[in-house]
Amino acid sequence: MPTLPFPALRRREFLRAGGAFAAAAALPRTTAAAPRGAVQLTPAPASAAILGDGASETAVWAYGGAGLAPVLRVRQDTPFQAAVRNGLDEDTTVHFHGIRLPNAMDGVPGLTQPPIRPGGSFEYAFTPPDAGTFWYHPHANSLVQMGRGLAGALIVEEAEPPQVDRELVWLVQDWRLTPDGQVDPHFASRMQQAMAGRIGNAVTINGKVAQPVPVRAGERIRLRIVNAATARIMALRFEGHRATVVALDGQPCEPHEPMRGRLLLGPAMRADLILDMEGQPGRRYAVTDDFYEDELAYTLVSLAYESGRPLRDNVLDASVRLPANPLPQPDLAAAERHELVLQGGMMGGMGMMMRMNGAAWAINGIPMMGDGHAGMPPLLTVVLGRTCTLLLKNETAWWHPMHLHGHSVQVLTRDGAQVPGSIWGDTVLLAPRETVEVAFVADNPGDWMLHCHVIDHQVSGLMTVIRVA
Amino acid sequence: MKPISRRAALLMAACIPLPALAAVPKPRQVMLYKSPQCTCCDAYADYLRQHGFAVTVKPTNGLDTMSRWAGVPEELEGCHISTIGDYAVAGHVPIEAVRKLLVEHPPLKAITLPGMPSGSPGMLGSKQAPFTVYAIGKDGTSSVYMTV
Repeated sequence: MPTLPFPALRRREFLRAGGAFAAAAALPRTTAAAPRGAVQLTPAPASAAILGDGASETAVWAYGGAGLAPVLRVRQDTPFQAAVRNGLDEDTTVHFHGIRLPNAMDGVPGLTQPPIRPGGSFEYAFTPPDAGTFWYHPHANSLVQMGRGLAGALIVEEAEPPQVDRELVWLVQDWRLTPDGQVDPHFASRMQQAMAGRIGNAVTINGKVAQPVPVRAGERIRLRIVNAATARIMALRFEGHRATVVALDGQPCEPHEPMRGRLLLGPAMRADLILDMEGQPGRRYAVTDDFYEDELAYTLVSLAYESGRPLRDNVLDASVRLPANPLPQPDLAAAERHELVLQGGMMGGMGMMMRMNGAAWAINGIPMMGDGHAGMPPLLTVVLGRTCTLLLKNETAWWHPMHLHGHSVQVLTRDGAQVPGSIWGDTVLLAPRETVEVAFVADNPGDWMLHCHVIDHQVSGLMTVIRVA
Repeated sequence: MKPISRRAALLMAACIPLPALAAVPKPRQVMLYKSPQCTCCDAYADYLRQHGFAVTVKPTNGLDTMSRWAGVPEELEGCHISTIGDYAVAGHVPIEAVRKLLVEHPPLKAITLPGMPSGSPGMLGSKQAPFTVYAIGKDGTSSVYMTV
C-alpha cells in the first residue's frame, strides 16, 4: 500500500492513479482546484483485486490513489488539509475518526456540514493535536459506502517516535461477497440490524486478502492495526509472539500485553503494537482472529520469517513507551455525570418498538437513525470546559463499540471495577450487559455525535448527539 | 482454523447458499444455523431435540444471506434458520407447524415465524397472542401457513 507523505504533495502521481477510474475522470470540471499542500481524496467507483492478483477484480468504491485508499501521514501539530471531490452518484462526507478537530471539520452530514453532493467538493483543514493511529471514512450512507470499501488510515506522527526497525499499517476491512467475488448489494437487513450487523466472508488487510508478511528475526516492528470493518469484532492472537500494546485508538497507554494474549478490537478501534520478532528464521507464525466461535476462527495473516541471520542477537534494548498526547485531564470531583442506556436489539425486550418506527435500538429510549442529518436535537448539553462522565449501560444482548466524536475519553470502570492504567480511546467496546464509565473534558464546542460503530446499529437507532457549549 | 485465502474466501461465500437446504436424507436430522452470539437459538435447538429431532447447531455470520436464499422475505425473517427435510424452517416455529409440514409435505420452500415472539419455543416470557406461521412458496410468495 502506498503511503502519502504530507505535506509533500504527490499530486501528479495521485492524478495518474486516479485517472484509471473512469468515474473520477468524468467528473465535471467545475470543482475548484485543490489548495496547494492539500491531500486529494476522490471517493469514486473503482475496481480492485481484493481477492489477490490474478483473481477477478471486485467493483469497489475507493478514495483514489493506488489501492483502495492512501495512508495519509501528517506530523503532530502540523496543519493538514484534504480536498475531497465526490465522484460517487450520491452524497458523501469524510470523517477523520478520533482526531480532536473543530466541529465544522467533523464530517457529519446535516450536523456539522452540508453533505458533499455528487461532483461537489469540500475542503477539510485541521491541525491534529494528538499523535497516533487514526483513520478516515465516509459518514453518509455509511453501511453502503464503507461496505463497498471507503476507508483509509490516517497516521499522525510523533515528533520523537520510539525506536523500531520498521512500521507496518494494517487497515483491516471485512467484505460480504457473493460467490462471484462481488460486494453483496443487499446492505439493509432488519434482522442483521437487530443482531450483530453485516459481518462479511472475506477479510482484507490494506485492500487485499492477506499474503504472508515477510519478517526478519530480531527486528522490532511497530504495527498499527485499524479495524475498519462495518461490524466484525476481532480478537487477535499472535502465535509465538508477545505483542505489547503501546497505544489504543491512537492514545498512548502503559505498555502491556493484551489480556490472555487476545487483542480485542471492535469496529473503528485501533491498536499500536510493538512486536519483537523472536521467532525462528524460516518458520511461519499465524495471526488468528477467534472472536466468534472457534468454528468461525480464521487466520488473518501469517508472519513469514526469512531464513537469513537474525538482525540482532538480543531483543532491542529501547523503550517502547510513546510520548504522551496533550489530553486534558478530567476533574472527577467537579464532573457532570450522565447516564446513557443502550437498549434494543434481538433478545433485548424492545419488542414491538422496532416494528413500529423502524428502529431496532435506542439510547435512553430515543432512537436516532441514519448517518447524520439536519435537526438532530442533542440528548444532553455539557458546559464547555467541564469534565463529563458518561455511564454507558449496555442493556442489550449484543456488543457495541461506542464512538464519541471530537474527544478522547478515559475509561474509568468496567462493571464497577476500576480499569488499571490510563486507558483512553474514542471508541469504547461494551460487552453484552456490560456497564462502562468514561470521562472526558468537554473542551471542544459543538454538537458531537455519539454512536455505535457497528454501522447497522448506528443507522437503526444506536446514536445520539451531545452538545458542548 | 482455515487461512482466508482467495480460494477460502470464495468457498466461504459459496458456502452460505443452499447446499444444506437441499434434501437431507433422514427427515429427523436438523441443521440449525444461528448467529454465534444469539443464545435463544440454542434453546430452540433443545426444543427440537426434546421433540425427537437430531439437531446440529452451526454458527454463521451470514444468516440474513441464508434467509434470502431460502426465499424468506425480510419482513418475515426469523432469528435463525433450520433445514428440516426439504424445507427451511426460520425462527422459533412451534413443533405443531413443523410436524404438519413433514406429514403433509406441501410444495413449499420454507415456513417462518417472524421475529422472536415472547413465549415462543426457546424464547422467554409468556405467549401474548397466537403465533402466525407463514409459508414461503416455491415461487417466493408468502401466505399464512397456520396459527398456533
